[in-house]
Amino acid sequence: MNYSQPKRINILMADDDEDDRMLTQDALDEGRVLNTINFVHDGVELLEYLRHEGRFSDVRAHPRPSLILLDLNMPRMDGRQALKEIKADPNLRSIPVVILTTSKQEEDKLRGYDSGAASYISKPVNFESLVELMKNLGKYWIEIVELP
Amino acid sequence: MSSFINRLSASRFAWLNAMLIIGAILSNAMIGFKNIYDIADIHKDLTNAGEVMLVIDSMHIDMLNAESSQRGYLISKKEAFLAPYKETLEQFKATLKRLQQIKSQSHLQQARIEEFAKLAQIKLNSLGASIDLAAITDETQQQRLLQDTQLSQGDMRKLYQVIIEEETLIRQALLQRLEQARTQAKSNVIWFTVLSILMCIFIVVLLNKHLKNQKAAKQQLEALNQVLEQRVKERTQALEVYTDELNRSNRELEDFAFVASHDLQEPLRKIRAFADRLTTTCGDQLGAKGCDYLARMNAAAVRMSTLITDLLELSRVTTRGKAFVQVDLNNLLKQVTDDLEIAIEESQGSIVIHPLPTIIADASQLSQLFSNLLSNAIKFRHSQRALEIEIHSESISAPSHLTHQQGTWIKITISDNGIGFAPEYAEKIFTPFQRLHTRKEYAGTGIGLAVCRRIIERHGGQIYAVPNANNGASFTITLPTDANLFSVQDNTNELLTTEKN
Repeated sequence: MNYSQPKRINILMADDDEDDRMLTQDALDEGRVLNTINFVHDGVELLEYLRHEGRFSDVRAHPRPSLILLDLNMPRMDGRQALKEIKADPNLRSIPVVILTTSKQEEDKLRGYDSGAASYISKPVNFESLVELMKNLGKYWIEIVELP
Repeated sequence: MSSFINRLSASRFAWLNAMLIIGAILSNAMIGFKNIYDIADIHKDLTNAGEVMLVIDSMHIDMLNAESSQRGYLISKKEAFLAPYKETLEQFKATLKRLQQIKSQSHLQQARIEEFAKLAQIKLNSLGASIDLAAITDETQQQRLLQDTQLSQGDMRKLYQVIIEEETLIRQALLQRLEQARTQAKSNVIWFTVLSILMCIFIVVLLNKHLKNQKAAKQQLEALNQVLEQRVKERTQALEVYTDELNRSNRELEDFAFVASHDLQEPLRKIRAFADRLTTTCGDQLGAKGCDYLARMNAAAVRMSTLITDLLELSRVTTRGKAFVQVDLNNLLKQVTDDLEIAIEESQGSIVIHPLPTIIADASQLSQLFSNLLSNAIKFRHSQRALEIEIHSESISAPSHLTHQQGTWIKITISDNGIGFAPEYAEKIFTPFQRLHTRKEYAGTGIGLAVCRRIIERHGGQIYAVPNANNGASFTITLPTDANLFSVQDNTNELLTTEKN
């Protein structure tokens, strides 16, 4: 493993909330996490991105993500359905999916893990916690975990 | 009601009829018996009259025989002529005896008969005397004797005729009576037969009418029953529609509370996040005052977030209730006190828990209930004395306050020696977000007891609080031993499925 050059990974975040997307970007910047992040707005876009369909056909501009941050409550196709589709697709199944949501419902947690989510995280209530979360996520998925 | 009266009078009528019929039968029977006895009496009298005539006749004949025998003897002086007389003498005694035994209908006739018997006796005696004299007296005297006897013979003959005529009259009267009695008996039989036939017809008619009435009443009752059934069905349907409507609106309300509280959290989170960002990025430009405003804004947002969380918790009591299972309250309370161990230690309090039963309830909700109650007791402890909490239970048998269905309940009392509350707040403290103290004195939103009440209500029980006489408060809970029997219609599962969809 090459330690001199920090590894960069691509993160794909699916969230319909513009504020959250902005705050997440800010938090990544503030935490000086050197990863690229792409955003999609709902489950349908998420699957199009992953399958390089429609406006996501350019593979270079839309690289395959090493990690997906998935919100549960989204229009058109919600996170629960999107997660099922990803895990049902043999090409996409290996990408770890972290659920990042405001829902604290037990069933959502159970169903999330049941459907193959790698982690289930509640959206932090303040910015500092979000920065902390992004740092920790970066550290865990980039430095500790070895991804395919 | 009117049919009832009719039925009553009908039964009275039936009884009256039965009495009348029985009376008619009895009187008929009595008349019949009387007829039979009458006829028998008349027969007896007839036989008697015949006997009288027979005896008188035979006595008369005897007398004539005796007389002719005496006359023959007196004229011929031959002993052979005396044989009929001697025979008569023998027979006379027996005939007299028979005569004495007979009693005629009329006293006059009886007197005549007795007279006749006396005369016959005298006559026989005089005949005997004349025969005895014949041996010693001469012919002229004998002639006189003959005339004597002939004279007396004339009296007797007259008497005999009178007796026979009288007796014949009696017999004729008797025969007439017999004829009358027979006619009466015949007409009685005819009347009785006619009456019997009429009664039979009457009974048949009555029975028929009764059967018809009964059939009509039965039909009427069936029709009424059908109407009633139809009405019950209609009411039930209306009630079902109403219940459905109520359930739906209830569910909508709960859904609304859940969704609203969930969705309200989102903007709040943003307010806090951006307030954070503002403080961090532009804190310098804002100055101390600006930062204070931001801090206050943040605090208000935090409080609102807590309120919403609490509201969510309250709505979850019904929307997120779990199935009722066997719960050992001793274990449950052990767990709750273990969780509160640090708080209890800090308050230097002591909790005495008397043995509790095992009931059927929602374990996690009961856990929340006791946790809230004990936390409250710890929170509102008295600063001057060590906290003491006592929990005890008793089993009671009583009807449900909602359904009035009889059942066994457990009554759990949790009493403390804390600050207590004024009696007028006993009901108010269970209202959501109702607080008796300022936020500075005691933290919290005032949702704890409202949640407790919701939980108890979901189990079909009751909770109330009273301030203790010597400080502190007592919270009393009544829970059914089996919540499945008393729970208000539980639509938890339904809600879960609708929400999943």
